[in-house]
Amino acid sequence: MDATQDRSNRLSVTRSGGQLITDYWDNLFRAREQGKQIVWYNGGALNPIFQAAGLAWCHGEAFAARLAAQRLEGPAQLAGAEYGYNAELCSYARTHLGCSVLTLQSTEGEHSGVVGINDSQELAARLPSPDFFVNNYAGCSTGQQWDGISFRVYGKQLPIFNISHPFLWGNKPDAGYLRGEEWEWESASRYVAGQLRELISFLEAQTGRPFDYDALSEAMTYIKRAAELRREDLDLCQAKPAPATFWDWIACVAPINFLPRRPGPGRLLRRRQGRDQRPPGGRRLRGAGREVPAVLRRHHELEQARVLVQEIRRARRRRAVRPLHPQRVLAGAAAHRHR
Amino acid sequence: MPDATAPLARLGEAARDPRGYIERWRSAHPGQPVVGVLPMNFPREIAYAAGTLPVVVQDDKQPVTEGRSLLAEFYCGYTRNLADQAATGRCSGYDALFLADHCIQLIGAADVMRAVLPDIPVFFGMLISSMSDSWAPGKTAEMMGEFRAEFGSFTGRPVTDEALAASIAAHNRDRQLIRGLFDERSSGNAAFSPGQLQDIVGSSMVMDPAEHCELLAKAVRVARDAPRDDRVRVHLSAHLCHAPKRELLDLIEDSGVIVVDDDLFHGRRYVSTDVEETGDPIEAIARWYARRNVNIPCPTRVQQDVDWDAYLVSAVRSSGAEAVIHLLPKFCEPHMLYYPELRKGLDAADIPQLLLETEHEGLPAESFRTRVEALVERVRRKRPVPA
Repeated sequence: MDATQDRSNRLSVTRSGGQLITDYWDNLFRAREQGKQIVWYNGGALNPIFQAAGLAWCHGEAFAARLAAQRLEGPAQLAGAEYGYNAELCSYARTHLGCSVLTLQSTEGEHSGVVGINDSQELAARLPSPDFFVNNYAGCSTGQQWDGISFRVYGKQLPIFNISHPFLWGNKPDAGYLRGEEWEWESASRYVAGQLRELISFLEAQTGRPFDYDALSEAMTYIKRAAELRREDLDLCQAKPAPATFWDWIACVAPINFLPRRPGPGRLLRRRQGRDQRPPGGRRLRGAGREVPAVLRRHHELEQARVLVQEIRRARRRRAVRPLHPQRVLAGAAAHRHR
Repeated sequence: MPDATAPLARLGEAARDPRGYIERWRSAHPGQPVVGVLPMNFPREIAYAAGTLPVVVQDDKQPVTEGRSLLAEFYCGYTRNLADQAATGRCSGYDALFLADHCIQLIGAADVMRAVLPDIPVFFGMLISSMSDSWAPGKTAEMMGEFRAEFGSFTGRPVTDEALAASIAAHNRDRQLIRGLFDERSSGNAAFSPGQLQDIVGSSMVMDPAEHCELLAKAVRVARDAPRDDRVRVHLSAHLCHAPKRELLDLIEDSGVIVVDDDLFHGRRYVSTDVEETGDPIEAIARWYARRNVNIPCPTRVQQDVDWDAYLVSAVRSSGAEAVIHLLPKFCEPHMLYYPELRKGLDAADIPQLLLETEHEGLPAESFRTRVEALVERVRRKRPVPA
């Protein structure tokens, strides 16, 4: 066999995720035409809250990553460099700030001095201008400054909201995941839940309508279910050879991180479980020892049964969605957000 | 006639050799702890009130060796130097380390310090950095209270209001004396060179404030006024967290420039704001933290209603500076993010400017000299020609 032949066996369902992402961005690019307000945000995922508020959202890192993945980051970075951003600056921030510059130029008729940029900037400049900013950085200090500077690039004319997080550094001997004196001492979850409530008040002021807590509960219900399915998938990967690779696993980060919350992500994962069980590298199961196919066959049978159960459950849910309790949604999200 | 250089020399010695000062202080104060504090906003007042000597850990100019394997090359030189100090036993003079600033690079250095110095406490309490929010004052006061409690636990004695009041007063006296020198410089008195002022501020970060104030008062008493000469008047900006190399300050002044003002961390920025001496001391320290960012805006904080660029333009107008030199430590992200706004603001005000990126190791002296001289020429061309 040719040593250079690509023998990887990617999950076919990743393509479905890719389509979801493409649809999401296309919708965002048309958000202005659809009369939607647009929020630019950075940091931890706030999309369920924006979704419930009826907003279109752009996650700065995600858009910068998309441009880079498509090798289209050049115009934005050139525009950023021309504006004065140092090449050592965080690449996400630099690309996204460059998009701000390009978007402003496209809307205000300013001209770049970079030769040829007008021919190649299209996607970077297609990002619709924001109506306001929300920042949600818990760990990286660059993040808060990044949105603070976007606010300034837009002439300090647009509203901005910063979510502050307690930084639990593990100062106390009993520090650990969601436990310990430090955790209790700072009332960390209550702090962040309070910040999310302030964010919702801010969003209500921006949209001019009351926040839809039921929509948030519904979105969070789907998120919780998707997380459960993802954990179950991870458990399946303890089998050797694993039914999914690391690449498969991270390829679904984008739909998980910033897409609207619908049954989609859950379906995506379920289809993943029902995939062709051929492991990466093109090996057939029999090549790895007699017991392995048996294990995987058993997994496959179990999965078929589980998929059936899920279909039944989903049908029930379609008839009567059982959302998470609205009062518990923010506290749960807060606990998750700064762990 | 008293010798003005003696007190100044002692201040310079403390600034340039903090470990030597710590050793002398320890022998004069047996049993009292020395704590290292990391820049830029940890309130020394609380640590001093607890009976400790708080020392802002200085960049020590040593080449980074072990630190290279502990922090990546894209961490700023200061944080790599901190990691190196910890890994090579150069932090042995501290009984504990405290920090309050949420900088991802500084926290990286603190992570290293905690890992390689397991026997000393390292405490990080993050001060809220989103300054415009209505809840910011309360959160700041809460954290200042935690620092007080933490020092009480560390020393085994509660930090009393009386001790805090005395500490605040001592720090205010010292700050006011130092600030007076910066005010005089921006008004036209060139009695102290940039290197001397850096020594004065740097030593105030290391020394007992009462001792520092006494020595500085002696130096000031005998200093003679010196009018500015005809060199190009420049404002030095930023260089956050640590001091620029003295060689760089000398080089700048040797290239036809006279520094008339600055907002360096080892300069006016450090002494910009006093703590109120009335009312609850913890609340007062919290307000100090907030007002500090109004008096001289810092790119590590986010505050929509204060503008560093506007501050710079105003400072330049006030001191009569003809140009600004931005000193940017390589990889300082907050400064890199804000720099285009500074550039835009100064351009709009028709103020010439120059950006110099500094590194922990090495100084491209001749390249910098050429660039500063080009700035000088540019400014001279703008000067009115006498009839």
